[in-house]
Amino acid sequence: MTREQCIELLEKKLPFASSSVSDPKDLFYPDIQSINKNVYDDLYRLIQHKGQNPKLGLAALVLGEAGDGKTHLINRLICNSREKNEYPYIVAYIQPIEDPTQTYPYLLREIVSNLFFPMEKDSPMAIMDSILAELIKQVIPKCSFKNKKFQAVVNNAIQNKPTSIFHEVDLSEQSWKVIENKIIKEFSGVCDPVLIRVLIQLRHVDRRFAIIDWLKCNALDSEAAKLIKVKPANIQSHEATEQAARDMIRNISVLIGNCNQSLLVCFDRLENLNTSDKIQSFGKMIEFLVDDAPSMMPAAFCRGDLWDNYLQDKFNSHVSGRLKSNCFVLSGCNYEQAMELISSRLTWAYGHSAHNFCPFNEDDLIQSFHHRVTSARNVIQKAKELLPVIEPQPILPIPEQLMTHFQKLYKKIINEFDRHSPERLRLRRALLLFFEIIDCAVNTQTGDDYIDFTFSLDKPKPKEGMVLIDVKSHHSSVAASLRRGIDYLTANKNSHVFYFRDERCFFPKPPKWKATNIVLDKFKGLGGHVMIMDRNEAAQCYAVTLMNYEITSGDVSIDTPDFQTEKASIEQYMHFLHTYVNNEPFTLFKKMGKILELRKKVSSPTPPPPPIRSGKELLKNILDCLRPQPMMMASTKNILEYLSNHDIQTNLDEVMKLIKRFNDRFVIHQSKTDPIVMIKKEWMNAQP
Amino acid sequence: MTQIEQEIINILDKEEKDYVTLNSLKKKGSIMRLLNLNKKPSQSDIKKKLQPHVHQAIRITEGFNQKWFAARNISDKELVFNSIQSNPRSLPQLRKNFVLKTQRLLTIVPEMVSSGQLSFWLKSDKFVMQLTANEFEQSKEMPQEEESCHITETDHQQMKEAYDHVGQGKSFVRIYQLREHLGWSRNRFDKTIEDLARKLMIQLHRSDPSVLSEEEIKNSYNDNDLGLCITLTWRNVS
Repeated sequence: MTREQCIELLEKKLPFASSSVSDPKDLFYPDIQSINKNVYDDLYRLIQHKGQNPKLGLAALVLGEAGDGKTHLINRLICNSREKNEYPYIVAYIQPIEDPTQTYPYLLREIVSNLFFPMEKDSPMAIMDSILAELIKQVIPKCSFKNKKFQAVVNNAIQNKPTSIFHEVDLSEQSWKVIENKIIKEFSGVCDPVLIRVLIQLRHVDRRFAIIDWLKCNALDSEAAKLIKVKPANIQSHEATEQAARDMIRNISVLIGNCNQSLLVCFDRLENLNTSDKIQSFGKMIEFLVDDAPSMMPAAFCRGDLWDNYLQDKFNSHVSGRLKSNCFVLSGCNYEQAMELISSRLTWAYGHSAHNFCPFNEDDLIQSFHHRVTSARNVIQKAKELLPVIEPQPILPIPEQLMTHFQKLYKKIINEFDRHSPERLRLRRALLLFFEIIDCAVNTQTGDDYIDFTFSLDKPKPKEGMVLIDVKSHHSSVAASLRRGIDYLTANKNSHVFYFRDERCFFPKPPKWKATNIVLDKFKGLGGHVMIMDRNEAAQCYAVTLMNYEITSGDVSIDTPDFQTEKASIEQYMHFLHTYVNNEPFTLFKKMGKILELRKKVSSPTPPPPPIRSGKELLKNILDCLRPQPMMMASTKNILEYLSNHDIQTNLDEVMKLIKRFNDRFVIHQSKTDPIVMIKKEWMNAQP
Repeated sequence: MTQIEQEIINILDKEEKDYVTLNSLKKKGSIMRLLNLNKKPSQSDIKKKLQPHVHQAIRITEGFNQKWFAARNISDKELVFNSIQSNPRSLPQLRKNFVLKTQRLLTIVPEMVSSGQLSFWLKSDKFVMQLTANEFEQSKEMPQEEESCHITETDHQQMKEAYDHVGQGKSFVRIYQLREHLGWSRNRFDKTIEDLARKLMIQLHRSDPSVLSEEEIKNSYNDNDLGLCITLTWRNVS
């Protein structure tokens, strides 16, 4: 292949496109095991230790800045957990908590969702199936079936491949009952027998949704309860729900431990713990897992500066002490690792390793990575900058770049929709972002568990209303939620109440749920908006929320007009949402905009560009102001002061516009107070 | 040069000194006014307020017995040389109330003696080795050192000590805190960071500047490749 052909191929395959990992369960590019190998080895040793001593309260903390490979490390742990290990383990990946009043129910929901991920891609078997199969494997030799020949067949099958018991061996209902009773007997006194009775039904595909709901301690409707043979639950108090969630986690922990496995519970993206309540809630989860859930080990993955200089002081010493006792710091890539990383991406793109780093200039690579320790993400970004191009592609505007990222995430969620079970708090975050971008005042402190938030809008017409998000499957809970809407609509004529529901959540039509359907009709009659979200609409919301987490963690990169790469900011994300709110794929937001009669914002005519001479003069003065300063930076306030002292009449808006226009020369950093403007190194001595 | 730097230079010129203790600045009304300090500020109050205003002509250093000083922004060796030149004395006498820490003196004085900038003389009546300055050597050595700012093993060690002291066991230490703690000239500090990064002894991190104030950002570090860096980690290189 000629050099030009190599470049052409790389332009198609994009091996250096983006190195951020949005989901640790995705493995798109090859993993370089030598990067942070010591941290991985130490963590694995800790998991081994936990496996040998399940009751030992252990926790781990992994520190690294954005791009150092925290999520990559989780990915490596997940991939390696699928291999045959002496001390097998499972990994649960926990997204940041949204509602700190839901600490244990949230933790339980996340753990259960993880246990129902497929064991392998496209496999119908989930991790939970393998746990159950392992338990069955242990009791099968002790079970006595009438047909001894058959017993030998079953025994043989399960010893070779435990999950074959569900589909490859034809067991009668009576035989299943024998197995169920045997397991219950084995776990008598240490695990709730109802849990085993429910889990043993996993072989029935049509019962899985109800089983998952029950495991998450969601109140089941009588029909769903009947299906999986449990008592229909009543709506419980907050305390009872918390207790039930704790008990369920403990019970699951016992089962996992009896399969000689450990569950590594990974908490990632702690940057999203943005209130003290959320921080405390996270602390409670760690404390509970360490002290009360044998065979589960929490591991927190956090930005180093955030942990060392802020978060650790926010926890009680019990929590921070437990985490710090096994603290690992990720390191960047040295020259050899950087070259290995680039080489692996080229190998991935070409399909062979005999590339000799074509089309890179070797001197450029040496100069960039020799005598440097660089984060893996920076290595990829630098390689992208160094990659020769046949014809430079124009840099897309930032909202378009973010749209590309969003589309990928959205499609991914659609493709694996079952992995994203209905989650009220993530839907809430997405809807809150929608109301934020339409300049709507919202109140989330409603004091009512059923009401997510109220809102009031000034423009284009004054409007107010309420948002109810309901993913419950119990008729009394659904009716209670709808009644909140009815009360509000009755008290506030011409207001808007939105009732959101993921279509996967059970809500049968009449004659079932007769009373609840009457309440629903009344809600509709009063003008309430019932928003049953289909697959696409729910996926939009989950994508909006998950991308919000990624942005907050600094995991989304964008290309700047001067061909540099930087982390996307939350302001850029909001601008992107604002730009695309009326376009595909945001059909749900578009629908809501229509109901609220939001007209497309009439953009004011573009102001004429400032006269060239005055712009140049202003630019020169800004450079003059910055150059004598340490690090050639100053706050916008100081720049304005300087300009005023030099008799230059201007304002903050004009200065910022100019600085943003010349973003090849300036960098803007947000500080605690005013934004700081800094001259880029290459412009430190150049004239405007 | 900032107004405060000019005021301090005026004081130093008037007193024919290279440094003053921060505590002695309490009596200088003009400086206290410029720093917006009244009543009885502590040494650390003065240091905190003064730090953002000194970039070029003045630097803040920690010297003998945890005292903090405002010194002319000249090299450590020049400070020693000037002090000995105006008042030849023994090393124990020099260390008392000196602008540099004893440990630093113990490193640079032997270097200056071996390069001929300083000499030891045995006073005839007492068994004390007295230091004297050899004037002719100054012009040869000093400016050269300041321009190239040669970074030594000692600078690395001092940076590591500062990292351990400021970090108190933390891994990610904020660079502005190290700069403030060491009180070196900007050039010396930046060159030391650059050297340590080049030798793979530290890793620089951009981190999140939005949690810092303007002055804290200014006292961080601007790396050629990474841009603004807020924290560093010391690497365990075997």
